[in-house]
Amino acid sequence: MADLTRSVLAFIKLLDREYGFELGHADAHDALAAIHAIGVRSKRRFHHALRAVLCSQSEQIAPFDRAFDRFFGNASQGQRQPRPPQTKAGNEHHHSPLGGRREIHDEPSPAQAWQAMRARFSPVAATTDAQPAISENGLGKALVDASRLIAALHLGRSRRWKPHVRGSRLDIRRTLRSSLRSGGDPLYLRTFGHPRRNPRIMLVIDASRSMAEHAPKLLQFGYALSRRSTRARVFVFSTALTEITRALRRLPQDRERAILLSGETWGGGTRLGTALRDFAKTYQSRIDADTLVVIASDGLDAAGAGELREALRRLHRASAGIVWLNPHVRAPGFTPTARAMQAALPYVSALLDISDLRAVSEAAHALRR
Amino acid sequence: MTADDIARRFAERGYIGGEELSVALELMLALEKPLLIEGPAGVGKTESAKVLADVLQTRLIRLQCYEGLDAASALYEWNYPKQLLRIRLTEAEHESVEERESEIFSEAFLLRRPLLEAILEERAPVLLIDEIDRADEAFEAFLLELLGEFQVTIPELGTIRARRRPAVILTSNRSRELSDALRRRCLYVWIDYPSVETEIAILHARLPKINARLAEQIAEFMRQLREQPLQKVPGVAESLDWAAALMRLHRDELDERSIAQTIGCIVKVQDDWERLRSQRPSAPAESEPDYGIGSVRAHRG
Repeated sequence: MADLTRSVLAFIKLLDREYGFELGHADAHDALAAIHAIGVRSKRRFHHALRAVLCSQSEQIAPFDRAFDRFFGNASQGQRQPRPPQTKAGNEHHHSPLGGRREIHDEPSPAQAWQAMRARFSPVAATTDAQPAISENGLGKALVDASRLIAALHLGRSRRWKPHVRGSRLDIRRTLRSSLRSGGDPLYLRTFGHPRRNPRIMLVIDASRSMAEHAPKLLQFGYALSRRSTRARVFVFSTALTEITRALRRLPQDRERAILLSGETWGGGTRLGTALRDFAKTYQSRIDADTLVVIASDGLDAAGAGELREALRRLHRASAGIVWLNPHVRAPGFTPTARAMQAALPYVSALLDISDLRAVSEAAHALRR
Repeated sequence: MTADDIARRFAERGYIGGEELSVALELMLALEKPLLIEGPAGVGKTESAKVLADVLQTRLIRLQCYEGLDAASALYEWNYPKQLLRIRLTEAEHESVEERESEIFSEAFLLRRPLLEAILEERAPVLLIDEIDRADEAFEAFLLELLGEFQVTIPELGTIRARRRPAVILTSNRSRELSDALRRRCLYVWIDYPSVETEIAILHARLPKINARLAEQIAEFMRQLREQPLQKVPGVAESLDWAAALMRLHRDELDERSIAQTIGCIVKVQDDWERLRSQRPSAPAESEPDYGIGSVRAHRG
């Protein structure tokens, strides 16, 4: 049992250090209690139990399964959760207390694994080693632009009735409650009103090779948005869509920040239509009339524009507006002739240049209701 | 109660869930921690709480969350009209202010809402906090004390601790990101759409008289449908409704006509309807009837 305890604690440490799970003593305590409750006769159940305790959101399930396989051997085979292909760099096995095999040597770091995985499995992946970083240089301006955007985005009032200081409808319950102070006489009237909408911002960054030059600036802007508003979310895509809001929020605030992205998200080819379709589908319930969608892409897509048109149509209908940032807008003689841009134009509220992020707040201001 | 017991008793009640859910429910009962269930709409998140209450032979207390839900609607509220009435009726009795206050702010004037009800219940109930993502962040923060300590503080009465810790299930459709603080207090399980085999088993469990071929065809059709980029992807609840409708129309097999008559059971957005129509192959193979999104290959076994 002591071996098992040590193994579980080492596994938690692995999740915490290399997979960004942010686990503490309470989680370790819960994991050990869960194993005590569930027993270790079935490796699959052991896996389910640890997953129920140590994961707290669906995005953690695939990394958890990878880490589990890496640490305890391949016990999570046959799980329903789809997992990306694994790199098998190490072949030295150790017996775990559960009788499984642990692969603990020569395991590539997440960065190496990511690089190897791209090289092996992505037909359109790049070979660049550059990890995008968020530099201090220009961060102040990005924070100002982000603040300006958030301040400019007024989307009118909600239809909900909520307690309001000078509302238009009498709140009988609160009026009665306050009348207790005045011997039952309703001296202090309380009212309901419509509160201001609290807008959300979703920034979707094209991370393909053709946009590599603009990646640092866009990431910096995404980081600034995530610092300035809890209702801003940031996504990147090249061949697959990944949300990086949490990763951005966890970055330290006092030094150069490199952001590590796993999967085929950075520097690969573009599947703009597919990525935006996935975005519209996955987050359809979170995109509503309070949401501004900002897409940063050059609109170069190898695939047809049908998927893109469909995705933008859905986003356009569901959201408050779509702002498109294109790096070529200010190029002399620019006309949006790329098929993707042609398809996008009818659904875009504003087509702006990437270098002028301040203009995003002006576009947001134009959406004021 | 072990995961096997839970799975068996759930199956007896027509709920076919994965092993992950059974293990998570076992842990929820053993560790006395809330369980957060996430997954797309219509996969049986809410139903799992109802079935659990039935399995445990206890009361199900449900709190349906919505935007604007506040503590007064979820936890407790003072019965103001009754308090006012008591003040009026006792005006002539010359009680001190303290005496009056202690009288009107006592349990007799308290309206119990679901959360307080769950805490004061003698026998540990199943507390279902449904669609927590619809509630405001302020309400989520308010829940933290309850889920962490199973106690609530009423300023006029003090802190009330749970007599028996309720089995708490929270569900979320992920329309909003929940806070880390809330997630940290919960066990977590994700329920996805079922596999074709599981969906067939669910159809047989819930509709014992269903034709085996019809069940296979429905499950396969739904699998294909869920791969389409629809605005509203149908869940298991829709499969069951559809199967019941087809049985009601005495259909033992899917064909174009029966699909056209009953498509409203599973596709509930006009755009999705149009999309399915436009994707219909122009010349379906003779041996495989066309069901609108490509032919169904459910002729297994």
